[in-house]
Amino acid sequence: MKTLQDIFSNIPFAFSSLWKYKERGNTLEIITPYATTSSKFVSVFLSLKNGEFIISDGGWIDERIYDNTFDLEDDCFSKILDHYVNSFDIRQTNGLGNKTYFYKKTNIIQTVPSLVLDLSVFISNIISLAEIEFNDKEEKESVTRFGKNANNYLKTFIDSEKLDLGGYLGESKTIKFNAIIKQTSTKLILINYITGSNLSHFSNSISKANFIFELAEKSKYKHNISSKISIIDNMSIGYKPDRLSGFLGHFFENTNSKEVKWTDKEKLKELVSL
Amino acid sequence: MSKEIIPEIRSNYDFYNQLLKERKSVFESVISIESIPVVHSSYQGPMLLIVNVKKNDSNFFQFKLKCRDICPTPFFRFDSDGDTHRNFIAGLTLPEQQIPTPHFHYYNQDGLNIAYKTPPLLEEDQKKALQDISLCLAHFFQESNINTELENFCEVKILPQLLPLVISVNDPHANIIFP
Repeated sequence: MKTLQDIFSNIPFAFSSLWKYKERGNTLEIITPYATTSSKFVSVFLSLKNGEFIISDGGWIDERIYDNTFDLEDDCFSKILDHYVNSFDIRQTNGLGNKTYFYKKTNIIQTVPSLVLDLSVFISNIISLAEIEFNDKEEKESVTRFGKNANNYLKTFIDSEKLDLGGYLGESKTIKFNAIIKQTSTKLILINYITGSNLSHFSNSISKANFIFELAEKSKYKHNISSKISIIDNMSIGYKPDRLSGFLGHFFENTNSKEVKWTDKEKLKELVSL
Repeated sequence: MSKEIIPEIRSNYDFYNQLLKERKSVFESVISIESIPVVHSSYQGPMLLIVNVKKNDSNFFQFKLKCRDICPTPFFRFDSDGDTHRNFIAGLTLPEQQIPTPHFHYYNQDGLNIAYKTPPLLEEDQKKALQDISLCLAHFFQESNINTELENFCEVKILPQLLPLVISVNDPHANIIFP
């Protein structure tokens, strides 16, 4: 009969056989033994650039290669991501199409395995946690549906080069709008969508839009803002004008944004005439 | 591991097998990156073949068969590249659980998503030949019992209006600045 020590010796052997690699140009994809709750083995990517070893997720988290979601709008997920990014001291950079890369780097060759461990555990946790639905499903579907409809409508009359859906104000990814229309390289129209599957979610959506417009007005891009528009989903179940009039009144007064009700969406064409 | 189990497949496994194993046909000779109908020999409902190709890497593609009457997600799939799947089945050794791409996906009778490699995908030369999307589609057709009713298998046309050249940038760190 095998001793426990024999069984133990097979464990690192089995684990070590899971480490594999694929050559991808000047980068090595390293398949690791770290798994996710969605039945994936995590890959990290290693390359040498300017004397530094780069270990990254290859952009796979943002690219949803693990069949994962990556919803930074989800406050819970966003907090978890921040926690892991800070805990493992993970850096972020953007590639083609604004794709986010999570990475670490070192110029000490002996520390590469430690960085591979950090990235692997980070990816494994983020992909697994992305499976959890933190938000009310009905609300999420409602917001997604309205966002899609509004995006599609804007696309019908605004040139794609001038329309940045889900775009950020400025280079730092901090102030995000549902849409930004670039009238010229320095003149921008900022658009927020306001919706909600119930009264509480709708009023939260107003508060969020209010906060984002306030941040934009305090940013260094203040003088680039030519106008602000709020598209109100007045067809949603959460839209109760009699109960929301106080909120909406304060919002429009405070932000000086132009109101467009979804049922009057034709009005948008005039407001954004380029 | 809840996400990888599809209860609709588990409870309709005979129907699943009928969809997957019985003969099917496609009638197009050139497939663009889109969905095209598949005609099943005994099941009359709608079934689709979906071809996805990564924007900047034409060697990174997927073929999917979808039938809403069984489940909303594709019920059979091929991945040329991408993540490594773990077959989370009791009794399999740890090394046996790991299935890197390229690989196929089907669902077992528990509705569990299983990845596997066919013999050509295990053989280095053949695996390399199957990086050609049209050849690989022919292999997918064999594996999923799809007949083209044509002498030759279908040709896949990548982004016909947009890009005349087949491009492949599979180095994820190429042209990325890591400050």
